[in-house]
Amino acid sequence: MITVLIVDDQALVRDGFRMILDEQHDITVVGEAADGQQAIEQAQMLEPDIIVMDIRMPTMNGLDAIRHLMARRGARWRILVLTTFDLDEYVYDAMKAGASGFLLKDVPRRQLIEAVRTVAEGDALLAPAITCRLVERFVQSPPPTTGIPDQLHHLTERELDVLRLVARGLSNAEIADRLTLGQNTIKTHLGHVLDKLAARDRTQAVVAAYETGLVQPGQG
Amino acid sequence: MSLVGRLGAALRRVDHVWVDWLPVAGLLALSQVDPNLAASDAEVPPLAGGLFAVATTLPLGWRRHHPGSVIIAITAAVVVWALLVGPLITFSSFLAVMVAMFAVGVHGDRREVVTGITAAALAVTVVALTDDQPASAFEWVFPTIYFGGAMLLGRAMRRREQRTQMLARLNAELARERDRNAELAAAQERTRIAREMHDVIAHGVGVIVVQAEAAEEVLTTRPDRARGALREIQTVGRQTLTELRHLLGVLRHDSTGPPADVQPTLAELDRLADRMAATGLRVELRTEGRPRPLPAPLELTAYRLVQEALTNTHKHAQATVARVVVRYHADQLEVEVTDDGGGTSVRPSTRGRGLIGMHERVHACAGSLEAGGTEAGFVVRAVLPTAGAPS
Repeated sequence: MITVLIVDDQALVRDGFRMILDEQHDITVVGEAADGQQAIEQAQMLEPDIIVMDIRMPTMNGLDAIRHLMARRGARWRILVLTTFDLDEYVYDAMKAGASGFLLKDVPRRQLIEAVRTVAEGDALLAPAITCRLVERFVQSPPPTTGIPDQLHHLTERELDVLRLVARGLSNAEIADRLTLGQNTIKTHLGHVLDKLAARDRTQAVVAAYETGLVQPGQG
Repeated sequence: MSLVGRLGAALRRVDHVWVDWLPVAGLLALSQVDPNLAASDAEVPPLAGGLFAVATTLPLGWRRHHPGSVIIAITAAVVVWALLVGPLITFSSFLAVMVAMFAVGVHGDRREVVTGITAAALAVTVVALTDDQPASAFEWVFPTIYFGGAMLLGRAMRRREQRTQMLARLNAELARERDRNAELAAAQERTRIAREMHDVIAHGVGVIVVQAEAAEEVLTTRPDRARGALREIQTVGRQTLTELRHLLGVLRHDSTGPPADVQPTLAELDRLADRMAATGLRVELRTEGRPRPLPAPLELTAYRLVQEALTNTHKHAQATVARVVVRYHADQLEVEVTDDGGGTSVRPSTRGRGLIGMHERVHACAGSLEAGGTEAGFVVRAVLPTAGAPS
């Protein structure tokens, strides 16, 4: 059972998402919060698997709450950011702060449900194309360097290939296709990449790829 | 305008070719009847006298563009004449030097001014020294006054001209600046309106989408929850529409309007006029053409326009009466607000914030708006096309 905490300043939005998620047999909404402060309190109390959080809220906004929540030691929860605007700079900051992905608030409920399940598994990136567009837009990347950035020196050639394609927004299946390898091989490589980068998930790997300058915005 | 200014303006209007060559012709003609030559030594052959006249007057034709060269040419002729013939300087050549010095003042740069002074001084000196009689002070003083005066006069006119041009440039720049500011303010206003509308829509419609998704999800398993969600959608939908109307209807805080959630129409203009009268401004309201109900947004815009114009009149003009005319044409509505506050009344730029909002709104209705001051007072006039069918 995947436990979910819903955070949004609009009661009707919380109510709607609750209805949708509770209806699923493998998902339970264990709590709600109306601002960042409440989110932290509820999270600490309920220890949910997933926190679905609006990024713009009064009182402590989502960004600060995310930073707070992800800074907690041994935190197992993953954060799914809700936003009205997909090219929102806040969203990018949220991802850098440790959010696992983001959704538009008017997302079809199928996607919301899949997103919760996917993030709970810690597996594939959500809406890779959109995420990469976001990263491309807001990343403060260093100037292009020749060769491999220092921070990535300990990655193997293959791992760098995989990382580059992940940053381009390709799914595991697509990467497997591109590199003519099996999907499981790709998954293994990706796992190593995440370990070596100390990245929590695929999203963080994408951020790292841009921020180190391995991948430049606009090359996609 | 002073005499100098009027003179300058008059000269500017005359075609340049005439200005250039008329003095030449005139002085040449004068030289023919010059008493000096007639009374001079009989040794002076008429040809030499004629050449001298030409040499001193012809160069004047180029004095606008080459004042330095011209003064040199003329004074050179004078010097040559003084050295070869005698110090009797004809009146026309004297005038020629005056004109040339004036030209140096008006058209010459620093270098040419120095050249002119030097050349004139040289000529004066030579003429004075070639005189048989010992030079008297007058032979120096008077020429200095005449020639120096001519140049100074020219210089003064030049300065005046430059100042006028600079003022014109500044004026144009200021007008451009004001237009830029107005555009900026308009853009900012549009952005603000857009942002508010976006917020209102995103806020409300986002909720509607979530609730609709939820309703469909639990439609069969929890129909009562689904029904609840549908009711919420109705409520939020209406709220959003109200907020949008509110936003489009009341863009600024105005205290002279009716309660915010009642949208005024042209029928309320009477009450508006009464309210303004209570503040001390008499309002004459007139309707022309056949009144008919028009689409609510159009009437609202027209109402707001009148309201804004009257508020401005009240705030800024020393007006005693304002006239509002509403004309119903076959395919458009015309609204005109005038006051008798006098065109020179202290008025912020015709594109002050209130009127900018008005421009935006009128444009949103595909209409046009003119606002400006006349001798009699301020006029605001808008034409709004009507779609044909009443609302």
